[in-house]
Amino acid sequence: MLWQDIFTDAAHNLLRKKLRTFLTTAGVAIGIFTVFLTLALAVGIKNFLTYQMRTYGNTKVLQVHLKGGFSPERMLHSRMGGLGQTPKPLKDESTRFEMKMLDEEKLQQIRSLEGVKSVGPMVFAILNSIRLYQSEERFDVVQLPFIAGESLELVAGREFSSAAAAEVILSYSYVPAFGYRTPEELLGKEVVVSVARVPPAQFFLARMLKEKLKNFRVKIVGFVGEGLLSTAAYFPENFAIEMGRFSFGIDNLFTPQNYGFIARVVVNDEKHVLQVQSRIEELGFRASSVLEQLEAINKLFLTIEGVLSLFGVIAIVVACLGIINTLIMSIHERRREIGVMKAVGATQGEITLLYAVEAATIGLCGSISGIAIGMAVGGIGNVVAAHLYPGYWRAHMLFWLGDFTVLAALMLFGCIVGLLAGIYPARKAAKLDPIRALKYE
Amino acid sequence: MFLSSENLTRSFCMGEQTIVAVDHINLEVEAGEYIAFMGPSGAGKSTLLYLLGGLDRPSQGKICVAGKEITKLSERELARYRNQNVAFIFQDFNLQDHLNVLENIVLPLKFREVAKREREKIAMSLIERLGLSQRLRHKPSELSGGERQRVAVARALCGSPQLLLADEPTGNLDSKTGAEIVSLLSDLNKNGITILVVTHNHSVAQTAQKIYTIQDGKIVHCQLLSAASGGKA
Ligand SMILES: Nc1ncnc2c1ncn2[C@@H]1O[C@H](COP(=O)(O)OP(=O)(O)O)[C@@H](O)[C@H]1O
Ligand SMILES: [Mg+2]
Repeated sequence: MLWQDIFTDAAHNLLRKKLRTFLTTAGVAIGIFTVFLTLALAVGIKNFLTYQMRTYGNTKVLQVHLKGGFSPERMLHSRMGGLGQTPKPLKDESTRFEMKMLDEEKLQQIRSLEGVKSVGPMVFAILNSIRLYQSEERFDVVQLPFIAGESLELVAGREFSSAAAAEVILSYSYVPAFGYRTPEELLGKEVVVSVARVPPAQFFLARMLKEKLKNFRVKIVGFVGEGLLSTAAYFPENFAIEMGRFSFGIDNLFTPQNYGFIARVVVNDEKHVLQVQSRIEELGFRASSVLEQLEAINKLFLTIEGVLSLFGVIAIVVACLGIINTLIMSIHERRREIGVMKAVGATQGEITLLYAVEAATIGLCGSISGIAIGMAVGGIGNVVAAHLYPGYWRAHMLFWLGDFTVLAALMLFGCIVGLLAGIYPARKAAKLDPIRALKYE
Repeated sequence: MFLSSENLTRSFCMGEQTIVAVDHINLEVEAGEYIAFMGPSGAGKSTLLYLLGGLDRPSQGKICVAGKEITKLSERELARYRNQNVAFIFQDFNLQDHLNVLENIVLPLKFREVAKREREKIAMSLIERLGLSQRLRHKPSELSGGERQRVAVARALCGSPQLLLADEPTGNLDSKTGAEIVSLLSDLNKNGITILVVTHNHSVAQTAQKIYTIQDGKIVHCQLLSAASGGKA
């Protein structure tokens, strides 16, 4: 039999029982649709989180602090109530917020590690509030470390004019918060940033007791895209140092004598971050990196994807049963036809192929429509999400709508699934005894 | 010898009992012969025909056709044999209901990997000869019994077989259309096709050169008819 004949015959056979073919195809479509949509959502959310994690910090940067001292993770854990983990026995005597300061001597060890580009203090200050100059309405704000040379994704304005300039780059969300419509209207306007002094500093350093807050007046020069970091403010490095010194009540903070309690280690290549991280930990420090957290997220999402695709797999298995059922039924109805084909010289192989192609066609049509429906639903979902959270965290990309290879792979997958489901009925048809088929009907 | 069988036996196991449908039949057919098989229902005539046509395999014995021992062929080779050397005509026509007349006729060529255009060209002269030109796009259900059997004959001839096996070809036809088919068969035989026909009808059998009577799977009687006899009159 010519391939051309096999395909046209398979198509004609499918069209003979339109409703049945449609329903079987719909079964496959639902299966592929489920797989596609769960994949789209899982990948979409993972992409989103990855993107967000990357905005949280540079992936080449490690945060390093001394064991037993102030630990950002531990603080986070305690504030969140343990994050569901069993309380760990504490190995050392340190108090939770004791500040173990890093100095040049300690950092020298890290500096000499292979793959480390630079080591410096993690400059940060505790901000109390932000408000427009000459306005009384105050807003929540957090200062994030700004790394010169590692440019932010600005959606408006420019970068800082110098490391010491009294300037700020704000998150886009301050535009509506301050009552404006476009970021451009705010460029050049001044804001007052109020820096808080941390409680231990207030307590231990009596001379600074009186001064709990200090205001800094800075000019808005740019905006970064809106994300999870919606209350972020970035300052030029030297300016941030000044704010940090006030926050912690230490005059020589962020100098080689006192790097504070967190060091910022920049690694040459993103590929070596985790390796450098474990080296640093071998030296007796604690280190954390965005990349490490990204890995955790990836691992988590691999699990989620696995579980979600289980539903898809179940749907596809059901669809397979549908295909098998349909083919067995139609083979039963076409017994005589198959007998005639054999009588005029069809081989078992040709009959197998004919039915297998029918099954594969159902699989292919099912997966194409499943993908199409999935893309439509995902697309609508993205539009709705973008509408619900206008301009917010890439909401229009909530569902990942795939790329060519994934779509092609999914179609191929549907085709193969159909083919596999078709093998048993097709063999059954091929093995049919022509005598019985022709005689006893 | 064009066709011969040796100790040809076919038995069916039906639970406890075994039915021997064809029982040690030795048959010899020369090329171009026209033989009729008669006998009571259940005698094993159809089974014998299916065995000779390669649609079924014997339990025992062998069949040689055109120098080939077809009982030794693989499944694929046997399918090829059915496609190229033999053609069947059945009592109840066995046309494909979903195909039109033309598509039914060219079916054997489809399994010979002949392209659509080409096979329809091959079929055209047959169609005219059998008076089916006006019926090409009709489905079998729209045809009369005689027309359907003519389509079946056309399908059988389309692959230009050497051997034509007809199992009660007039069984479902009235006597007039039956006679048409019978004269068609003897015409074909005159053109050199070897024909084996199973029939209950004596006047049909009379058109053949020999009549074998089969009973309980055995050939019990052989009647030679004069070559000039029968159907033509
Ligand atoms: N596929 C089969 N399975 C079981 N028994 C069969 C089968 N084909 C034929 N038979 C039996 O073999 C015998 C001969 O059948 P058949 O060749 O059809 O007879 P005829 O064509 O002479 O009427 C019958 O008894 C029939 O029941
Ligand atoms: Mg019979």
